[in-house]
Amino acid sequence: MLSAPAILAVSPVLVAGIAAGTAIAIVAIWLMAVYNGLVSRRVRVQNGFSQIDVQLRRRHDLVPNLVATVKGYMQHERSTLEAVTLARTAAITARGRVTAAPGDAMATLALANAEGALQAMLGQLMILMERYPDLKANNNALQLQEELVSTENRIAFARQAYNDAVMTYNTKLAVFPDVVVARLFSFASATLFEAEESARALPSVEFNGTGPNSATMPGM
Amino acid sequence: MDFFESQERAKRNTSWLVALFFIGVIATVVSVHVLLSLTISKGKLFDPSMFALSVGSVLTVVGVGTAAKFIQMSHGGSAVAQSMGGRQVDPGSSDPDERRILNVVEEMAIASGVRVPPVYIMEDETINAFAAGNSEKDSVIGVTRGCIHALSRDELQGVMAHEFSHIFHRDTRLNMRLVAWLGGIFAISMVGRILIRSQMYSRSPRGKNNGAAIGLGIGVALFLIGIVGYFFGRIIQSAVSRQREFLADASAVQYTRNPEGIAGALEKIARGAGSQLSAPAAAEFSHFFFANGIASFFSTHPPIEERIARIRGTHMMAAGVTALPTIQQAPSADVHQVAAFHDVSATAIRGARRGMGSFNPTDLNIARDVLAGLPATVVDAARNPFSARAVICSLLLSKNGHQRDLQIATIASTDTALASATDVLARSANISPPQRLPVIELCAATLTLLSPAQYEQFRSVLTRLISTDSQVDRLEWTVRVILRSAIEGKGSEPKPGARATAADAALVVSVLAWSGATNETLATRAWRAARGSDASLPTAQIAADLCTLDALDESLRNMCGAPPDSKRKLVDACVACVAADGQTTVDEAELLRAICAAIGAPMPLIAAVA
Repeated sequence: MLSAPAILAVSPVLVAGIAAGTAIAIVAIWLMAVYNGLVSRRVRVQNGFSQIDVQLRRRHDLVPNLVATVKGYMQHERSTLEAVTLARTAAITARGRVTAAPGDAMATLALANAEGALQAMLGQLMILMERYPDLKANNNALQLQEELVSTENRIAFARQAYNDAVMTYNTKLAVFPDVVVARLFSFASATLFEAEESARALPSVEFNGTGPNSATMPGM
Repeated sequence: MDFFESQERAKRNTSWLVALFFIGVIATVVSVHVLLSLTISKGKLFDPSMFALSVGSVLTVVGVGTAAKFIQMSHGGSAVAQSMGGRQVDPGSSDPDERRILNVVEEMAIASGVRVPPVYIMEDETINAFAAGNSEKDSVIGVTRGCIHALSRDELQGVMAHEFSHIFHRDTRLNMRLVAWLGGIFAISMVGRILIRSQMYSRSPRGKNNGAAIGLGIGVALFLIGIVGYFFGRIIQSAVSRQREFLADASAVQYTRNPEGIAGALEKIARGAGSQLSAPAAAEFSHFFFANGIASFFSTHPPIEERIARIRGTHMMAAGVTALPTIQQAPSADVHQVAAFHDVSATAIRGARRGMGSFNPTDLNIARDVLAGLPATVVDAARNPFSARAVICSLLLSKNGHQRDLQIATIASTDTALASATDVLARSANISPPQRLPVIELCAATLTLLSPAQYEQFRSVLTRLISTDSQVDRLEWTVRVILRSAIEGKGSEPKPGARATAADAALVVSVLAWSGATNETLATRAWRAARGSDASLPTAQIAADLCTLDALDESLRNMCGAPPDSKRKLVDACVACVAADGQTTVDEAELLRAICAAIGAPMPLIAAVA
């Protein structure tokens, strides 16, 4: 075997060249690994959002049925019912904007706010429904209510998964050395799916298990 | 061919691949040496220090390149799907196209006993599909949007059967290795290209000088070597891939008994829908695909016309020999029996064993009927991560009212929403014993969507739920094993350094012997039947109190890394043991399937059809 100085004696330029080549290869491969890692996190964020989206659509589909069913019983709550319908329309519009521009921070925030408002209105409606004993005997209404509760739970759960994914991804974007690669390939940070306090504060309804129907609306 | 034989062959093919890889590396080293000698040592060919340099530099680059790819591939099929721009299809999707592909894949997975693989979709209007994964447990299936758009259900089924063949025959594993090994050789070409480019930029301002000339010399040399490596790699890639495609086509016909499905899909590609992908990574992964993913001299797939001709040819031969029911004609009377049966005949178990690593139209129909027979609320719940947890919990609820309340309270202490969802589900939907395994499989596929934090929480709930009655029963064990392997992707991977011993096999068979027996005489009889199949088992079964499910877990983990031949012996002994008394309960059959799944040997549906 040859000792290192013997090799160096051949041609220092050559050794330097090959060392540089190897270094470039290592850097290129490292770059690729970090890039792939970022892409994979970003995909997880996108998957997380489509989870929420499926359930939001479900919520939007439920609302007209629910309103139609309770309308006959709740003559005095016309304004609430109208507010629910309006909140739904606003949420559908916001959802359309996000579908048109996926990942857009402003659109996502607007959707989160619109959905927060709709959720709050629906919560209020559910509480009002408790005041109508006739409604409790209506099977259709009970079924829709159950369906809505389950959808709300699913949305909350999907939102949690999405927000977890966003946090991991955004953290990766911010830490060294990933931040270098992220800047290089302009990876944009993702937006949490969370309504602003003002959007959610519409009706003052307590959802955390102390409401009158806490048994059927857990975890909302 | 027996399932385990094809596993052996896949292993041999991998060894060939490694051998080819080393030849490739040697060829590259020699070309580096020759080129360096000619350009720098001025024709002096036998300069030992120059040789040492060539070897050193090539090995470093190849080594780093291979290691990097191995790390990427170790993330399993999902890593491949993502680098191809794939998006995982939400199991709860209501998009009709997505629903169709999910249904087809679910049916096939449940019929054949493999985990329901996550489906990835690539937004590309051409027709193509792929399967990727290191093992059956981390395999994924990818399809293009065009594939689901343009193909009929039968054609889609043919294409998916082709992909399942790649999973059964461990072609996916071979393909992953191929990418990793070739990654090393391709790395040289990458370095060459990078060096040439950097020389282009650095040369212009400085003009011609000695250092730049030498630099350019090295750049050109590495570039040429890169080309050698690249060509060699692509030749290996296409050579390995082409023969596997014919096998997968033939298997697809065998599984579906419908050559028109897959032939029709290929015809649509040939007639102009095309199969060439726009994803930049397509060349690297071209050997994964259903049809050529790139247009190139190095086709990884045989010509489409030839494939169609062979598929139709196989069919004619097959039609002459046996008149097997096609998908549409399969007698559905068999199928309804499944939902109601209690015991399984020994013939059915042996039949399932013979069909390991495949499925047939009857299995597919049964799977479809099992899925269709599930209560709508359960299916809907199983396809959403929130409620899929509730489905799993409701399966584990005790029949004893007091125990059940205790369990619900246990869940509620962590998650009230989950507790009430579990309660509602358990009251409203009735899941019969034969439906349990498919339901667990469906849930497992959905639960991969949990975030790590959510999964951790769910796991702790499950652990507490399982321990409320202070003993782990068979169903609980099955749930644990299936979820772990589906979600953590490792589950019953062998522990590092652990080796399967004869005692491990003995323990697995003993658990089965005891599980079907009410007394020692019956257990001994089952054990004797197992020994009849595998004489290397000890003379007597292991005592019942040592056959805990934890011990079973441990032994199965060890068996997981055993060579295919040991697995074959174990599976045959298990089958003999279960079939010994001629009467097998659904529980026993499901335990058998779970054991097989844990060691990576997919056992098809065991039907109660006489």
